Amino acid sequence: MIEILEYTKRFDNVVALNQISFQIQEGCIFGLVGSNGAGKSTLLRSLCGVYAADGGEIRIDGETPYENPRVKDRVVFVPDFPYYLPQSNLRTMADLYRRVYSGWSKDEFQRLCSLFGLNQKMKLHNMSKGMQRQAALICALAAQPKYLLLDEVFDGLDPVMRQLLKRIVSDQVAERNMTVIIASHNLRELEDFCDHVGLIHQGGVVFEQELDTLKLGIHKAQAVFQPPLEQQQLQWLREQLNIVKLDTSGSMISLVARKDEETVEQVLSELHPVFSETLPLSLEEVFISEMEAVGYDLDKILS
Amino acid sequence: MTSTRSSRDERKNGAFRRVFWWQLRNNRVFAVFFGLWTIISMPIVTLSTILGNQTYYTDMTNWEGYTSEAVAQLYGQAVYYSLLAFLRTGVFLVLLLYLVVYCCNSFGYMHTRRSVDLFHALPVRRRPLLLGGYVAGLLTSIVPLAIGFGLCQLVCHVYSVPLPNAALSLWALFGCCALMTFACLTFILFFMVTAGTLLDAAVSLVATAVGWPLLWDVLNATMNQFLPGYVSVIPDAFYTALCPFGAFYELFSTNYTIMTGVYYADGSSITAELPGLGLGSILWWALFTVALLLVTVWYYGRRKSEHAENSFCAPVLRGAVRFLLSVAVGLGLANILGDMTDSNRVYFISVVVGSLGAYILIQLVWARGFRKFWRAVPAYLLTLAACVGFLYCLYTGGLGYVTRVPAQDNVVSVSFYLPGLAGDNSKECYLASQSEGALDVSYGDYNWGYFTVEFADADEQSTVLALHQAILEKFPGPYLPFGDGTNQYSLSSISVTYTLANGSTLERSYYVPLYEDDEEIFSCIAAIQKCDTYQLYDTFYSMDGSSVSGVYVSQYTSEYDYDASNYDLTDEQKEQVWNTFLEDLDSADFSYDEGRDDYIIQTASEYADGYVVLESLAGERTYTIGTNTLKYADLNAEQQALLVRLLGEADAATAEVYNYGFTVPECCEKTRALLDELTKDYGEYYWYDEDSGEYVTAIPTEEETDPADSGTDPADSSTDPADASTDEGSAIVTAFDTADGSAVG
Repeated sequence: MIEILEYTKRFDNVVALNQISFQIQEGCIFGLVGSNGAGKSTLLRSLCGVYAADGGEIRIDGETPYENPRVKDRVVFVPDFPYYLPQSNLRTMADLYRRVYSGWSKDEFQRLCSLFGLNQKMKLHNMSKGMQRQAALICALAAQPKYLLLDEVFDGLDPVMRQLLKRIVSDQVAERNMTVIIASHNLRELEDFCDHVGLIHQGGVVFEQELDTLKLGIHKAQAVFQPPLEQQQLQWLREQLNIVKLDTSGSMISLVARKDEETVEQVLSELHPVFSETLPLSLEEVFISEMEAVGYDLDKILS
Repeated sequence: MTSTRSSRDERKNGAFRRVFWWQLRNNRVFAVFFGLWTIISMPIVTLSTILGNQTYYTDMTNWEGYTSEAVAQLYGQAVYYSLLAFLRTGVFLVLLLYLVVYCCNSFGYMHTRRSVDLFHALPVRRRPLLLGGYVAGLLTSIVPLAIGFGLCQLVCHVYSVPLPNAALSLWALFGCCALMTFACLTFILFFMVTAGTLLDAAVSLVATAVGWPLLWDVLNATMNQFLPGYVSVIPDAFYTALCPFGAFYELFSTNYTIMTGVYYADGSSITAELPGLGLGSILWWALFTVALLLVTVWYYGRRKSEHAENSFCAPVLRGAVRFLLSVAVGLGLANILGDMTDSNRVYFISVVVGSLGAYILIQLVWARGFRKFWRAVPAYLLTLAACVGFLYCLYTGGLGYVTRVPAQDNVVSVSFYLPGLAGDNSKECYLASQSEGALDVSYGDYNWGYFTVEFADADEQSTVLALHQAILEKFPGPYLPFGDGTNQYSLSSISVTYTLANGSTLERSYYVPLYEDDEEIFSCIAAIQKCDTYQLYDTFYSMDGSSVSGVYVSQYTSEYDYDASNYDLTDEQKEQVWNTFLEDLDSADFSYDEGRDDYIIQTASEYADGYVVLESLAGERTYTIGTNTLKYADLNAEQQALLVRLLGEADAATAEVYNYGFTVPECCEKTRALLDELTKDYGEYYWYDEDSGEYVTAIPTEEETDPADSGTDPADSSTDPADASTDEGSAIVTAFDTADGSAVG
């Protein structure tokens, strides 16, 4: 289990992560989402022991990862821009991983190379971006880590490779109870891959929840009222539905509420709408709604 | 699917080993190249030298009078020096290149974020990660050297060529090479670890390696320029103390003489010059390197991963390097421009301009532009303040350095040295300039000593103290580096060394402008020369006619060529010459005459800037009275006792005291006239006169000269020698035989 306790990371005067706290259970696929510069990559680097804490701590299986080979042996990090040694090929990199990760499996390495169809002798710097990422994933997965940290892993992968990756990772999660933390802006990919999701914004955690619970707990609704609702009624709606976003347009209202579908429909029906419809949100819509709730206004950015 | 999962303890213990082997593999191309180059080239150079010189050294007809052992030893030395020359260039430079490439390849990951992500996420602690690569680098540098040295030894053994003190010299040299390789690798690694980018590491490394010796050189020059009497107190080893590359190179240049244990046929020992480090240097580099390695490893353990690509890594070191380079450039530029212009104003402006320029340049490189420039200004002001403080300290006499003369009761002994007294304004100056106030002795097998006069008696010491005080009166202060209008090369050089009661020494060396009216200094020098101890060291005072070996006659045949030869004298003539010379010394007028050099008759051309250029005049003769080398038995009892005190009984018994000759000054007219007469038959000098296009001579041969005129008026031959070479009326065209027997002229 990963425990993040009041963790703070600073770069000179910039606070990248500010006293964040949450837990990640074993065997889950945790999607880490957030705006650019929110601190997702910093958190991943902290989890794999690259960065030392400036405050608070991170515990992986009860131990801090920084300068702790026992913990780091169970954690493999695939950064957004994987680094390869000069003039190296997949075998060269595999040789490095083989020497330092106790869980390295040559058979798994060969199997993954076959699955991804990569030439082991080809110079990595001559490979495309997507192939380089595949190479990094092969090395990471062949090390058979207990914790796999992936940063923007879907970038550059074609749809077939994305599905292959998801399948391989899911299999390993099922087989070995591996924990995966994946930071990405590609919310559609995360939506059908992750079982937990955390939203980071400006160095703080906006929410961290099981994806199903999250999606069941937030809904959008549209309703038409005749005559249109008055301010008092709208205020009552806000109080009843824990509304994240509310737009009115004449007699029609659109809202996003942190309530389950049944509650939303029940509250709306009390105001006798001419028409009402309640729908679950996609992860992307949840992300946008929550970001707007913390002042990350899409309209302002676009204007 | 199979997997191997080691125990945690095994992993912990094996991290260093695994990094070590991985780094070996990672650098195998460079390591193999360097290894092959060293292992192959060293024995090949040795072998080729052996074979190339085999004929010469094995043909004993080339070595008449030498024992076969001596020839073999000299053969071995030739091979050894050839190998040494190759080590200095072919191996040293390639080794340095290898170390730099190795460090960039193995530790360059620290300087980019992407590579740091990979390496710092690996399940290996920082220290084994660093040390694994470090040890791999060290071994791949040292092992080929060891094999190379071993193969050289083997090749010499196979061809029976004895290297000088073979077992010791080669392996001692290898040990020194290994130590300096250790130091160089650590030095490079230190800057790799403490810098955020490769450029910063390179700049810091070069700035320190170049700036450190430059700084001390410049400080030394500055103190020398400001402070009268300044004697460098900076040991040579200090210049390379933070520059292992320089010390490594110096290793091949430093020579220690050893006795080989093999003798020439006459029984004298064959010596060899071997390179190596002194014990002090070995200790310094061993301790320095270990300390630097510990600091490097400690710092790497604390180094944040985010320092990659960040120039703010180790700001203290950066500040130190910037300070070092700014001061060195500022003072260095000031010394150069000040010397060129002889202007103190230019000097002080140059200090500011040079240091500021260097500071801005380094800041530009480090900050990649003028970013944070203003934040660096206070640090520059501190640098400038340090320079100004240092220069002010020198201006006021270097905290009493200039005026410090020890109290007589605090002095145990005084020695002094007069390596060059310009002007020869007095008999005393003349004699002192000839002997330099030192005893020149050879003893034992090829040992040689130059012993300066040492006064232990208080009364005698007081004469030197008086001279020291008299000299100081010529330097009242405040002290400025330039603008006094004196030219160091026309000054008199006087050095004094006191041994004080607390065991320390105080040494001063002055360049003194001596003029005719410096009577106090002349009288002090005369007082010193009257001391018994001085006269023990200066054999002039115990000489007589029998000490004269002959007369050395030299004659300038043109402005740039001269001919010279010894002229034998009879015992009677020797006595006559010496007595005349002593008479002249007592009566001659040594008063200063600018433009005249007492040794060689010259013309003086004075230029508008005050410089006087002396040009030798063709045809004029110069006489030097030669003296015999004295063996121990030839010396008087007091001089023998002195040698025993200086050398010990065994060496004193074998000692030979070399006497200087006495170049007869122009003012010693009687002696010159006598020598003109005695050597009138000496040689026929000729040269090719470009004006006339003929071979001419200034001294007529007997057949062409009226015998009545010859030697009657010696002054005639020196009245205007220039005319002799150019005036066809006085120059007599002669016919003489050339070497091949054909007539010329």
